[in-house]
Amino acid sequence: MRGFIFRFSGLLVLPIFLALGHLAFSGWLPPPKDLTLEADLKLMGIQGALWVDAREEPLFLSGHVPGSVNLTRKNWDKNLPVFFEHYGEGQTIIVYCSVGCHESTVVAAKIRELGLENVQVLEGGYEAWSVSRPPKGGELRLEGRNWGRMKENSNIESRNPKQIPNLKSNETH
Amino acid sequence: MKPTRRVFLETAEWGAVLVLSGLFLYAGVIKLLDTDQFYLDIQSYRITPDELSWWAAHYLPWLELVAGVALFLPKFRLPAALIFAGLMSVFTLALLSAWSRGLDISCGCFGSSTAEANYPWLVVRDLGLLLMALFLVWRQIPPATCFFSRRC
Repeated sequence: MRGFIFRFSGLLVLPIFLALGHLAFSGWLPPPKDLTLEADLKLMGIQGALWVDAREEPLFLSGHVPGSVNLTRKNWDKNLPVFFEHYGEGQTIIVYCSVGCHESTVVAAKIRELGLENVQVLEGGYEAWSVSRPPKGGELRLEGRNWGRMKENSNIESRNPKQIPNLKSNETH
Repeated sequence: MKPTRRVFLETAEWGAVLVLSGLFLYAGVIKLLDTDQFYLDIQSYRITPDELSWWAAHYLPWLELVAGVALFLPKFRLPAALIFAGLMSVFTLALLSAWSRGLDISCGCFGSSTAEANYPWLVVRDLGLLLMALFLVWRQIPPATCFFSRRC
Protein backbone atom coordinates (compact mmCIF):
# COMPACT_ATOMS: atom_id res chain seq x y z
CA MET A 1 0.00 0.00 0.00
CA ARG A 2 2.75 2.39 1.00
CA GLY A 3 4.66 1.51 -2.15
CA PHE A 4 1.62 2.22 -4.28
CA ILE A 5 1.11 5.63 -2.68
CA PHE A 6 4.78 6.44 -3.18
CA ARG A 7 4.69 5.46 -6.86
CA PHE A 8 1.41 7.27 -7.49
CA SER A 9 2.67 10.46 -5.83
CA GLY A 10 5.90 10.21 -7.74
CA LEU A 11 4.08 10.10 -11.07
CA LEU A 12 2.14 13.24 -10.12
CA VAL A 13 5.09 15.18 -8.71
CA LEU A 14 7.75 14.40 -11.31
CA PRO A 15 5.93 16.32 -14.08
CA ILE A 16 5.92 19.42 -11.84
CA PHE A 17 9.71 19.48 -11.79
CA LEU A 18 9.89 18.71 -15.49
CA ALA A 19 7.47 21.56 -16.24
CA LEU A 20 9.45 23.99 -14.07
CA GLY A 21 12.64 22.95 -15.80
CA HIS A 22 10.98 23.41 -19.18
CA LEU A 23 9.80 26.89 -18.19
CA ALA A 24 13.21 27.86 -16.87
CA PHE A 25 14.79 26.68 -20.09
CA SER A 26 12.29 28.34 -22.45
CA GLY A 27 11.83 31.59 -20.56
CA TRP A 28 9.26 32.58 -17.96
CA LEU A 29 6.22 34.32 -19.41
CA PRO A 30 2.96 34.26 -17.44
CA PRO A 31 -0.19 35.06 -19.39
CA PRO A 32 -1.25 38.67 -19.91
CA LYS A 33 -4.00 40.00 -17.70
CA ASP A 34 -7.44 40.19 -19.29
CA LEU A 35 -9.47 43.36 -19.17
CA THR A 36 -13.12 43.20 -18.34
CA LEU A 37 -15.48 45.22 -20.42
CA GLU A 38 -16.03 47.60 -17.48
CA ALA A 39 -12.32 48.33 -17.34
CA ASP A 40 -12.39 48.77 -21.10
CA LEU A 41 -15.13 51.40 -20.76
CA LYS A 42 -12.92 53.31 -18.31
CA LEU A 43 -10.04 53.06 -20.72
CA MET A 44 -12.19 54.59 -23.45
CA GLY A 45 -11.58 57.85 -21.61
CA ILE A 46 -7.85 57.34 -21.82
CA GLN A 47 -6.39 58.66 -25.00
CA GLY A 48 -3.57 56.90 -26.70
CA ALA A 49 -4.13 53.19 -26.06
CA LEU A 50 -2.96 51.22 -29.07
CA TRP A 51 -5.53 48.61 -30.06
CA VAL A 52 -4.29 45.47 -31.76
CA ASP A 53 -6.73 43.34 -33.72
CA ALA A 54 -5.61 39.69 -33.66
CA ARG A 55 -8.31 38.46 -36.02
CA GLU A 56 -7.75 37.39 -39.61
CA GLU A 57 -7.61 40.18 -42.17
CA PRO A 58 -11.08 39.64 -43.69
CA LEU A 59 -12.64 40.03 -40.23
CA PHE A 60 -10.45 43.07 -39.51
CA LEU A 61 -11.51 44.69 -42.78
CA SER A 62 -15.19 44.04 -42.08
CA GLY A 63 -14.97 46.09 -38.89
CA HIS A 64 -12.51 46.89 -36.15
CA VAL A 65 -11.77 49.23 -33.28
CA PRO A 66 -10.91 52.61 -34.86
CA GLY A 67 -7.18 53.12 -35.16
CA SER A 68 -6.37 49.49 -34.38
CA VAL A 69 -3.54 47.60 -36.02
CA ASN A 70 -4.11 44.15 -37.46
CA LEU A 71 -1.48 41.77 -36.07
CA THR A 72 -1.75 37.98 -36.01
CA ARG A 73 0.71 35.12 -35.91
CA LYS A 74 0.09 34.64 -39.61
CA ASN A 75 0.91 38.23 -40.70
CA TRP A 76 3.38 38.87 -37.86
CA ASP A 77 6.41 39.55 -40.04
CA LYS A 78 4.47 41.67 -42.50
CA ASN A 79 2.56 43.84 -40.02
CA LEU A 80 5.02 44.19 -37.15
CA PRO A 81 6.62 47.30 -38.74
CA VAL A 82 3.13 48.81 -39.03
CA PHE A 83 2.57 48.07 -35.36
CA PHE A 84 5.77 49.90 -34.41
CA GLU A 85 4.84 52.85 -36.60
CA HIS A 86 1.74 53.30 -34.46
CA TYR A 87 3.33 52.41 -31.12
CA GLY A 88 4.55 55.15 -28.81
CA GLU A 89 6.94 54.59 -25.92
CA GLY A 90 5.08 53.46 -22.80
CA GLN A 91 1.75 53.25 -24.61
CA THR A 92 -0.90 50.86 -23.31
CA ILE A 93 -1.47 48.05 -25.81
CA ILE A 94 -4.85 46.32 -25.88
CA VAL A 95 -5.17 43.15 -27.93
CA TYR A 96 -8.50 41.66 -28.95
CA CYS A 97 -9.90 39.04 -31.27
CA SER A 98 -13.31 37.36 -31.48
CA VAL A 99 -15.36 36.14 -28.56
CA GLY A 100 -14.50 32.49 -27.85
CA CYS A 101 -11.14 32.91 -29.56
CA HIS A 102 -7.84 33.37 -27.76
CA GLU A 103 -5.50 34.34 -30.56
CA SER A 104 -5.38 37.67 -28.73
CA THR A 105 -3.72 36.00 -25.75
CA VAL A 106 -1.01 34.47 -27.92
CA VAL A 107 -0.40 37.71 -29.84
CA ALA A 108 -0.24 39.63 -26.54
CA ALA A 109 2.35 37.16 -25.25
CA LYS A 110 4.41 37.59 -28.43
CA ILE A 111 4.28 41.38 -28.04
CA ARG A 112 5.49 41.05 -24.48
CA GLU A 113 8.35 38.85 -25.69
CA LEU A 114 9.51 41.88 -27.66
CA GLY A 115 10.14 43.59 -24.34
CA LEU A 116 7.03 45.79 -24.39
CA GLU A 117 5.16 46.07 -21.13
CA ASN A 118 1.58 47.10 -20.29
CA VAL A 119 -0.01 44.69 -22.75
CA GLN A 120 -3.61 43.75 -22.03
CA VAL A 121 -6.15 41.41 -23.60
CA LEU A 122 -9.77 42.46 -24.03
CA GLU A 123 -12.16 39.88 -22.65
CA GLY A 124 -15.12 39.31 -24.94
CA GLY A 125 -13.18 40.45 -27.98
CA TYR A 126 -14.39 42.72 -30.72
CA GLU A 127 -17.93 41.58 -30.19
CA ALA A 128 -17.91 43.08 -26.71
CA TRP A 129 -16.66 46.38 -28.10
CA SER A 130 -18.65 46.33 -31.32
CA VAL A 131 -20.56 49.40 -32.44
CA SER A 132 -23.38 47.36 -33.94
CA ARG A 133 -26.46 46.38 -31.97
CA PRO A 134 -28.80 43.52 -32.89
CA PRO A 135 -32.23 44.43 -34.20
CA LYS A 136 -33.94 43.27 -31.00
CA GLY A 137 -31.59 45.06 -28.63
CA GLY A 138 -31.27 44.28 -24.93
CA GLU A 139 -28.75 41.52 -25.32
CA LEU A 140 -25.88 40.77 -27.60
CA ARG A 141 -25.99 37.80 -29.89
CA LEU A 142 -23.54 36.22 -32.27
CA GLU A 143 -24.69 33.97 -35.08
CA GLY A 144 -27.76 32.83 -33.22
CA ARG A 145 -25.93 31.97 -30.00
CA ASN A 146 -26.44 33.88 -26.80
CA TRP A 147 -23.12 34.43 -25.10
CA GLY A 148 -23.78 34.57 -21.38
CA ARG A 149 -20.82 36.78 -20.58
CA MET A 150 -21.81 39.39 -23.10
CA LYS A 151 -25.30 39.42 -21.64
CA GLU A 152 -23.91 40.42 -18.27
CA ASN A 153 -21.85 43.19 -19.86
CA SER A 154 -24.46 44.30 -22.38
CA ASN A 155 -25.00 47.68 -20.74
CA ILE A 156 -22.44 49.24 -23.11
CA GLU A 157 -23.67 52.29 -24.96
CA SER A 158 -24.59 51.94 -28.58
CA ARG A 159 -21.76 53.66 -30.36
CA ASN A 160 -22.53 55.52 -33.53
CA PRO A 161 -19.39 55.43 -35.72
CA LYS A 162 -19.92 59.06 -36.66
CA GLN A 163 -19.54 60.08 -33.01
CA ILE A 164 -16.09 58.55 -32.61
CA PRO A 165 -13.69 61.45 -33.17
CA ASN A 166 -10.75 59.47 -34.52
CA LEU A 167 -12.73 57.35 -36.95
CA LYS A 168 -10.98 57.42 -40.30
CA SER A 169 -13.04 57.76 -43.46
CA ASN A 170 -11.94 54.42 -44.89
CA GLU A 171 -13.01 52.41 -41.84
CA THR A 172 -16.45 50.92 -42.00
CA HIS A 173 -18.59 49.35 -39.32
CA MET B 1 -9.00 -19.25 -15.22
CA LYS B 2 -9.16 -20.99 -18.62
CA PRO B 3 -5.99 -20.54 -20.69
CA THR B 4 -7.98 -19.06 -23.59
CA ARG B 5 -9.57 -16.43 -21.38
CA ARG B 6 -6.24 -15.64 -19.74
CA VAL B 7 -4.51 -15.20 -23.09
CA PHE B 8 -7.36 -13.03 -24.33
CA LEU B 9 -7.22 -10.78 -21.27
CA GLU B 10 -3.43 -10.47 -21.40
CA THR B 11 -3.58 -9.58 -25.09
CA ALA B 12 -6.31 -7.04 -24.42
CA GLU B 13 -4.24 -5.59 -21.58
CA TRP B 14 -1.19 -5.15 -23.78
CA GLY B 15 -3.36 -3.69 -26.53
CA ALA B 16 -4.75 -1.12 -24.09
CA VAL B 17 -1.22 -0.32 -22.83
CA LEU B 18 0.04 0.25 -26.36
CA VAL B 19 -2.94 2.35 -27.43
CA LEU B 20 -3.03 4.54 -24.31
CA SER B 21 0.74 4.97 -24.10
CA GLY B 22 1.12 5.67 -27.79
CA LEU B 23 -1.71 8.18 -27.79
CA PHE B 24 -0.61 10.06 -24.69
CA LEU B 25 3.08 10.08 -25.58
CA TYR B 26 2.21 11.54 -28.98
CA ALA B 27 -0.24 14.03 -27.44
CA GLY B 28 2.29 15.07 -24.80
CA VAL B 29 5.00 15.75 -27.38
CA ILE B 30 2.65 17.72 -29.65
CA LYS B 31 1.51 19.85 -26.72
CA LEU B 32 5.07 20.51 -25.56
CA LEU B 33 6.03 21.70 -29.03
CA ASP B 34 3.31 24.38 -28.87
CA THR B 35 2.20 25.11 -25.31
CA ASP B 36 0.73 28.42 -26.50
CA GLN B 37 -1.75 26.57 -28.69
CA PHE B 38 -2.54 24.14 -25.87
CA TYR B 39 -3.13 27.10 -23.56
CA LEU B 40 -5.60 28.46 -26.13
CA ASP B 41 -7.33 25.10 -26.30
CA ILE B 42 -7.75 25.01 -22.51
CA GLN B 43 -8.94 28.62 -22.48
CA SER B 44 -11.54 27.93 -25.14
CA TYR B 45 -13.45 25.70 -22.72
CA ARG B 46 -13.95 28.73 -20.44
CA ILE B 47 -13.80 26.59 -17.31
CA THR B 48 -10.58 27.59 -15.59
CA PRO B 49 -9.12 31.03 -14.89
CA ASP B 50 -6.23 32.23 -17.05
CA GLU B 51 -3.49 31.51 -14.52
CA LEU B 52 -4.69 27.96 -13.88
CA SER B 53 -5.07 27.32 -17.61
CA TRP B 54 -1.52 28.51 -18.17
CA TRP B 55 -0.10 26.22 -15.47
CA ALA B 56 -2.19 23.31 -16.74
CA ALA B 57 -0.87 23.92 -20.27
CA HIS B 58 2.67 23.45 -18.95
CA TYR B 59 2.00 20.61 -16.48
CA LEU B 60 -0.37 18.29 -18.38
CA PRO B 61 1.95 17.45 -21.32
CA TRP B 62 4.66 16.29 -18.90
CA LEU B 63 2.11 14.30 -16.90
CA GLU B 64 1.01 12.55 -20.09
CA LEU B 65 4.61 11.76 -21.04
CA VAL B 66 5.56 10.46 -17.60
CA ALA B 67 2.40 8.36 -17.24
CA GLY B 68 2.76 7.12 -20.82
CA VAL B 69 6.22 5.75 -20.08
CA ALA B 70 5.19 4.44 -16.65
CA LEU B 71 2.43 2.34 -18.22
CA PHE B 72 5.09 0.03 -19.62
CA LEU B 73 6.58 -0.61 -16.19
CA PRO B 74 4.64 -3.30 -14.30
CA LYS B 75 5.08 -1.71 -10.87
CA PHE B 76 3.89 1.67 -12.16
CA ARG B 77 1.08 0.39 -14.35
CA LEU B 78 -1.68 0.71 -11.74
CA PRO B 79 -0.88 4.32 -10.72
CA ALA B 80 -0.39 5.27 -14.37
CA ALA B 81 -3.72 3.69 -15.33
CA LEU B 82 -5.43 5.57 -12.51
CA ILE B 83 -3.91 8.82 -13.74
CA PHE B 84 -5.14 8.13 -17.26
CA ALA B 85 -8.60 7.29 -15.97
CA GLY B 86 -8.63 10.57 -14.03
CA LEU B 87 -7.44 12.56 -17.05
CA MET B 88 -9.99 11.02 -19.40
CA SER B 89 -12.77 11.65 -16.90
CA VAL B 90 -11.81 15.33 -16.68
CA PHE B 91 -11.46 15.66 -20.46
CA THR B 92 -14.84 14.03 -21.06
CA LEU B 93 -16.57 16.25 -18.49
CA ALA B 94 -14.95 19.35 -20.01
CA LEU B 95 -16.18 18.34 -23.46
CA LEU B 96 -19.70 17.73 -22.19
CA SER B 97 -19.61 21.10 -20.42
CA ALA B 98 -18.48 22.91 -23.58
CA TRP B 99 -21.08 21.06 -25.64
CA SER B 100 -23.90 21.94 -23.25
CA ARG B 101 -22.92 25.64 -23.38
CA GLY B 102 -22.78 25.62 -27.16
CA LEU B 103 -19.17 26.76 -27.24
CA ASP B 104 -17.34 26.90 -30.51
CA ILE B 105 -14.11 25.46 -29.22
CA SER B 106 -12.62 25.30 -32.68
CA CYS B 107 -12.68 29.10 -32.55
CA GLY B 108 -13.09 29.89 -36.23
CA CYS B 109 -10.55 32.68 -35.82
CA PHE B 110 -8.63 32.15 -39.01
CA GLY B 111 -11.09 33.45 -41.54
CA SER B 112 -12.99 30.18 -41.83
CA SER B 113 -16.62 29.66 -41.00
CA THR B 114 -17.37 28.86 -37.37
CA ALA B 115 -17.00 25.14 -37.81
CA GLU B 116 -18.00 23.47 -34.57
CA ALA B 117 -16.05 20.69 -32.91
CA ASN B 118 -17.49 17.25 -33.64
CA TYR B 119 -18.73 16.78 -30.09
CA PRO B 120 -20.41 13.37 -30.42
CA TRP B 121 -17.29 11.83 -31.90
CA LEU B 122 -15.00 13.44 -29.32
CA VAL B 123 -17.17 12.26 -26.42
CA VAL B 124 -17.35 8.71 -27.77
CA ARG B 125 -13.60 8.68 -28.31
CA ASP B 126 -12.85 9.92 -24.81
CA LEU B 127 -15.28 7.48 -23.23
CA GLY B 128 -13.58 4.67 -25.15
CA LEU B 129 -10.20 5.73 -23.82
CA LEU B 130 -11.65 6.01 -20.31
CA LEU B 131 -12.97 2.46 -20.55
CA MET B 132 -9.54 1.28 -21.67
CA ALA B 133 -7.93 2.98 -18.68
CA LEU B 134 -10.49 1.49 -16.30
CA PHE B 135 -9.88 -1.94 -17.83
CA LEU B 136 -6.17 -1.56 -17.07
CA VAL B 137 -6.96 -0.49 -13.50
CA TRP B 138 -9.16 -3.56 -13.09
CA ARG B 139 -6.41 -5.78 -14.45
CA GLN B 140 -3.78 -4.33 -12.13
CA ILE B 141 -5.68 -4.33 -8.87
CA PRO B 142 -4.65 -7.46 -6.97
CA PRO B 143 -7.06 -9.36 -4.78
CA ALA B 144 -7.92 -7.36 -1.65
CA THR B 145 -6.15 -9.80 0.68
CA CYS B 146 -3.01 -9.49 -1.40
CA PHE B 147 -3.10 -5.70 -1.53
CA PHE B 148 -3.31 -5.15 2.20
CA SER B 149 -1.40 -8.12 3.58
CA ARG B 150 1.73 -7.75 1.47
CA ARG B 151 1.72 -11.48 0.84
CA CYS B 152 1.88 -11.13 -2.92
